[in-house]
Amino acid sequence: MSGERIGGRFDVVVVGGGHAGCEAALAAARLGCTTALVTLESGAIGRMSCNPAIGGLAKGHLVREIDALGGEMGRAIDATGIQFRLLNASRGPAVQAPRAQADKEGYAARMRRMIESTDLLTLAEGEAEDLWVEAGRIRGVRLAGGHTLETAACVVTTGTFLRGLLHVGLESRPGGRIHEKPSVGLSRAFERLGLPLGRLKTGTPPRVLRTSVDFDRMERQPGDREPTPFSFETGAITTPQIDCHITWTTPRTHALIRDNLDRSPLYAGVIRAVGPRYCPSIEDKVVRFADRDRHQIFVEPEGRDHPWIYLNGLSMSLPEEIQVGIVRSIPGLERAEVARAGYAVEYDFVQPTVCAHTL
Amino acid sequence: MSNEPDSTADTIVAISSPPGRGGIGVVRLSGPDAVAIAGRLFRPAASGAASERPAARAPDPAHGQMRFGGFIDAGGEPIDEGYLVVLRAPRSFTGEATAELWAHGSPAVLRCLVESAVAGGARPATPGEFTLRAFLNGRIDATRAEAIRDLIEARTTFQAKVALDQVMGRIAREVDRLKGRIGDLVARVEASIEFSEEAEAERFAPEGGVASAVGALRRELQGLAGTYDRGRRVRDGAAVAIVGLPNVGKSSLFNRLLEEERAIVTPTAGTTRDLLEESLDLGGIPVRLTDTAGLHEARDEAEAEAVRRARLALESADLLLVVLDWSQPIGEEERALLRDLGPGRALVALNKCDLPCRIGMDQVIFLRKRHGAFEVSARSGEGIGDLRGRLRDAICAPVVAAREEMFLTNVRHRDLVRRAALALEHAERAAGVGIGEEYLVLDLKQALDHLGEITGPVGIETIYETIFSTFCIGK
Repeated sequence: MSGERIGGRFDVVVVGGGHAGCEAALAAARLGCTTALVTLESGAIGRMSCNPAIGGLAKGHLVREIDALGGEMGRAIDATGIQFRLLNASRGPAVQAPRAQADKEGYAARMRRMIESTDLLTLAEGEAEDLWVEAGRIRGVRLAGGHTLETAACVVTTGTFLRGLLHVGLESRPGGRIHEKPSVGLSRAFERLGLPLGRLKTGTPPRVLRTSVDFDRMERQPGDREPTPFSFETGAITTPQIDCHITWTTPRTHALIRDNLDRSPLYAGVIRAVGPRYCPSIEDKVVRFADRDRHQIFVEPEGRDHPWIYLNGLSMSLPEEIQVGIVRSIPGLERAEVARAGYAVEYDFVQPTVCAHTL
Repeated sequence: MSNEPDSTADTIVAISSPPGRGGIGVVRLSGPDAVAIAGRLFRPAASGAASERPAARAPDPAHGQMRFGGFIDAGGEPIDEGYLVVLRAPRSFTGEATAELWAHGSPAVLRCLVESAVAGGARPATPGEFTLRAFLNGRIDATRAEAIRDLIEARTTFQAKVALDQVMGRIAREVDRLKGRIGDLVARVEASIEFSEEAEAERFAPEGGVASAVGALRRELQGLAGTYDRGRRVRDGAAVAIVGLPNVGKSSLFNRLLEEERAIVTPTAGTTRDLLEESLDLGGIPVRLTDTAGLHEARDEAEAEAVRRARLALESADLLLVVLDWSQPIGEEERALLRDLGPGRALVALNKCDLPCRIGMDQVIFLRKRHGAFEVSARSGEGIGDLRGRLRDAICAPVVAAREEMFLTNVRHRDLVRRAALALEHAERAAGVGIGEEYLVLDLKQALDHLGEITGPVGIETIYETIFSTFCIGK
């Protein structure tokens, strides 16, 4: 069942096909509800915009809780993970947390197959443009082009797409993710319904070609000898594990960043939204912690055979040519080819404090 | 807690000056309608002659304005004349709009003003309600609210000074400083757990290790809790009991110290039966001086009861003034009394030194050496100044010397600081035997919660703020 059946009537409509949208749609369908998953691009189901990883101290717990409720993320990462590490393994069980690097494309493909093969779940490609609300109740989701999906419940999981604005240097253009359109109509619908919106900012680092990286100049970071699965259903992780690496920024990196702050949208006043504090850009790190002469960079493959490497810790939105210089100031990356520049994205969110405990 | 006054609060009114008659009496209103209600009870004096018509009310007064005029009751009848003072929210003690009517200090006038305000829509305030509102509106924290009560109840200038220190937030500042340091420790431990995958995670650890940092804080908290004993004497006063055998002149000394004939004095042994207690201001410290019955074999039930009470006073006093008779040899009962004295708990006075010495020079030398005994005469007044000085030194000096340092005077604060110290002790012990930091941090948070009950809780946001502003964290 795929995207041609636009229109119709569903028990639940889910807008957005990221981690949250996939779990919501699968959960609804598995509970016996006719469900539509509306996404701007069906090929982008389960696509990881940023870090190709699942888990960590907070999200590792969350994924396992979802797994205990019959969720999909845990099983998907167990099947497609390329490096597993149990964080805080030396501490007690309450603070241990799994984290895994995903084979980015393998994870997304598996998630899409699961969505497409689940009974009662319809994948609808299109832009959810408006919410049809009458007397305080949701009646349907209007798609661009005029179709309406009637529904009794709607789950909106828009991530960075609500009125998304991408920044590279001082240039910006609308987008929810690189090369993908933003969702504009829904923001207006929320405003019309009186839901308070706020604006957040996040960013992603440049990707470099694997073949251009000198791993010998970096510290090797292997996964656990015995990988710990996320899902309680997974017996053992049998896929071969691969290494990540660690390198460090240099004083030259920091000088380049400081010298070009006027071309960073974060510091030139173009971006006013606040970023998550657990995920600062490298510009922020250099400015706010000027006393540190180096910052760590985790060098993470985007997949088992993927040509790109993700530079975890180097999120930035400087102009592309400056990003190249910054990347090449880092040991092991002297001859790195930047496959895709890092960028910042600003987007709307609904203030979560308007939700009652009963939702 | 919001600093904005609760807009749904009603308006309260009370007489704010002390009961009784005086030159000036104050009726205070606080709440959203305070200014409007007070305005209806007030007719500003027109330039020159007072206007007859209530309609002549001036436009709404500004913050801090003080205006002379006449007070009228709900029916428009004149009550008195005086000042109307207006404080606008949030720049008042309660944080709410406040109006004060400064009338003459006549109970009848003030009562009438309150009744008129109630008729105008105000509600009579319950005791402490103005301070409660100041607290609820975030104008003062709990330590200051409690200190205001102490300030009002202070009996000596030194007590007032200590209470005022607290009103000014001295304890709050000290507790906040300790909370800040424990919070920093919590942030470090949390960061090392939450961000263990960060490189150089050892940078999260406090200098010298967690156990030693916890230990240092625990000692500071115990030190702070330990200031309470001195603080209590300032607040409640020290209890001094005059004890000794019958007819050694305890009541005479009591009267002499009070400079009045408070106790009945006769040559007959056993005149004093009931405990007599009076307050004495000794160097700024209030002293509760108790005269007791002579300790000896009782001859009847009344005496037996008097002796029992005397022994109770002896046991509960902060300091004993043991009186011996200079003109009589020392008996076995007195030797027993002297033997039982704990160190530093007693002064030994040799009374009746205006009479010939029959106590024996050997005894005098022994008593001077062993107990610091000194001569005094209640009858002639000889040595009384010296006695006052010794009393002051024994109970007040440590406190007065501490005037510049801070100490707890409130038992609730002492208990919370103690419990915080105990929580840190648990953390310290846990760290010592290698129990994980994720457990230890629970004890640290408990310590924070206890201190938070004194000056307000430490939110998780504060901890996050510390983590993310202290350490460069994140992918």
